[in-house]
Amino acid sequence: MEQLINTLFNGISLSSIILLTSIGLAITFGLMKVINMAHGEFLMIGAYMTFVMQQIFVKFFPESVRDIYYFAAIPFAFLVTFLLGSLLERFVISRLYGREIDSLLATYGISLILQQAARSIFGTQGVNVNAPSFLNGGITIGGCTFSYNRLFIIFMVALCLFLVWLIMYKSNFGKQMRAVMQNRTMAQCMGINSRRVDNITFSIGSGLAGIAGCSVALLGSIDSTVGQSYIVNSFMAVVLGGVGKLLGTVIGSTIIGSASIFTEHYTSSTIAKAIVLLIVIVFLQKRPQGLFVIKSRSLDE
Amino acid sequence: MKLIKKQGDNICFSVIVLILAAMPLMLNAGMLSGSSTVLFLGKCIAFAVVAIGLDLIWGYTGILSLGHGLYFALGGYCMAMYLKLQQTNGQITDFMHIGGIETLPLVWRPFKYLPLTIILIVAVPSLVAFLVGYFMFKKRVKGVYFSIISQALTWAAYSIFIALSPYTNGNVGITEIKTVFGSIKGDANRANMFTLFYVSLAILVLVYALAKFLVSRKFGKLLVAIRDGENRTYFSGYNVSSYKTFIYVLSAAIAGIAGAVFVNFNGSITPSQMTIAYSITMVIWVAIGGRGTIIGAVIGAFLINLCEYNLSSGSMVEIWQYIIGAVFCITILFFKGGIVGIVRDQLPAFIGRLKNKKAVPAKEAAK
Repeated sequence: MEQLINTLFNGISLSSIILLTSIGLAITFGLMKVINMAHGEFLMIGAYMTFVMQQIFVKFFPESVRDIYYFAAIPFAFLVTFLLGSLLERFVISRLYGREIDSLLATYGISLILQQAARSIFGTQGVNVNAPSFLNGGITIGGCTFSYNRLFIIFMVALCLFLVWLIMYKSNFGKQMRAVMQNRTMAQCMGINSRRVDNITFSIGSGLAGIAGCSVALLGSIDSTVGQSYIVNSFMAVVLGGVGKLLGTVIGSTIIGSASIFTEHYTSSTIAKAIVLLIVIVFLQKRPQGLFVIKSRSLDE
Repeated sequence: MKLIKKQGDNICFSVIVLILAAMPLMLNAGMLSGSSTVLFLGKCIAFAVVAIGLDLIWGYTGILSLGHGLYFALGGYCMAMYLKLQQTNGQITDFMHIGGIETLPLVWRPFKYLPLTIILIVAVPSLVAFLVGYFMFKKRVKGVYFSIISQALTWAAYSIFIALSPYTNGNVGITEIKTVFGSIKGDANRANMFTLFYVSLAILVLVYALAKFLVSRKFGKLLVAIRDGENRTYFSGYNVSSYKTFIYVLSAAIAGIAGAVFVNFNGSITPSQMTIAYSITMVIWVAIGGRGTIIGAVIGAFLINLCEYNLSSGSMVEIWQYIIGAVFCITILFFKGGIVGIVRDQLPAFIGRLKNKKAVPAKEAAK
């Protein structure tokens, strides 16, 4: 029983990281019909920015306030990836509207460059981020230990999710975004600046990947390939959950995250990968477009 | 002039083949410093073959597979298993000993015989591709969805190959093997190497001819129709998913053959040949060479690999990553047709515009 709860807990924590990376992917895919292969590299950048922030604090601040570096790192990582995402959208993605497959390849070129840049700047060896001291340890309830940093990650993701929900469904901008997603031409006719909506949405998605990078930094060492290890799962979550609905992404990532942790726990990480793949393939037999689809009568989307 | 326009692809391909065919002769005449160049070109031949296969499904049919490294490696492993058993005289290998296996595993047994191996080199990748294609295309999973699934498939297969290390020797892969024609090391065995090289070249010519034949027929037009308007092709009464499955399986078989050729020249096969990154590298060759033209795939495979071979030594390794990333990105953004597209469409259009500009002031002056 205790083991089950522990596995469940780890599953939720992995799911939440996958969720944070796949929200951006799913929204941009639903909105602009582009797939961003460099999304994993935004996660990597976020993780490295946490490291950078830590180094800055170690160098310039007294010992007593050093622990709050992490709270500075989160907005910093978000800001950096937000700006990079905005630049990427402006110069690359915006030329690739509707060319799904081309967008995937062009952004792969970008991800090659970003990975190499990370290797040039930070070296090929992985770097470690020391978790702030208040995140060490955990609480024990009835024999189950919940480590603080995983709890913190789950909390952070929940907060981000809430903010995204607020933006998407309660703000004026979100209304515009959903309008563009459902019918771009009509939205443009109504005076919505769809270029601006695209750019901001893409940047927010990238920024969320940056925050995901912050949480990944707590869990292990960071190197230039850290993004790759999460991104395949995130892609699967997007395929499973369908595009354009927040709920689809949440359910998709929960299924992928828990499935891989559970099978990993009872068998091995190899089998886990195969089983996750199998789940997605079987699932796509039933619903080729994913769980949630925005209904449309047009033929060629 | 008309002939050049019409047969440009084939002329270009003949030139490439002739240059390649001359390489061993140049080595014999002492014009090349060592046999490593020939071995490297042999690998390039394998890359060109797999690029042709990839071009058939991506350039013509619009199915982007991010997992062709898997089929390449499957063919390669089939070949390597045969060659390894040649080394050990059909006995179990040392890594099986370490893995605790006493007798030769069942999966290894067919690879004692060359004819069976050759059949399996084609059959194994085809079977895997058929299963994937059948379940994906029948349910009309398409576009990026398919690409992502193929990527995940490669990812899973890679970790399975590493986990099954008593059978596959895990990360190290199958090493220390000779070629089908015996050892090619040293000057004494040069004849073996030349046989291998010319057989590989013949395979490239055959695959090229097959691909050219397919795309020049109605079948090829149909593939392009699927790429440009899948639903319309359905409505015209064609069973699109069967066509897609067929071309996907064919492409996987070609990749398997390429992998087998590659192993002979490389002398080993490792799971790194079936990573996602390796698979996308193949797509990069096709994209830069020019998708949708068979010759583009060949040019891309040779050009990129030659550049990489010459550039990525020493301090250039870092810069090479930047170059290939940037070139790839720019190609996709601005030169959809790759090198072939530039030569065939964009350059004449550019020259035409220049001529027009010159012609207009001349006319005005005449007035």
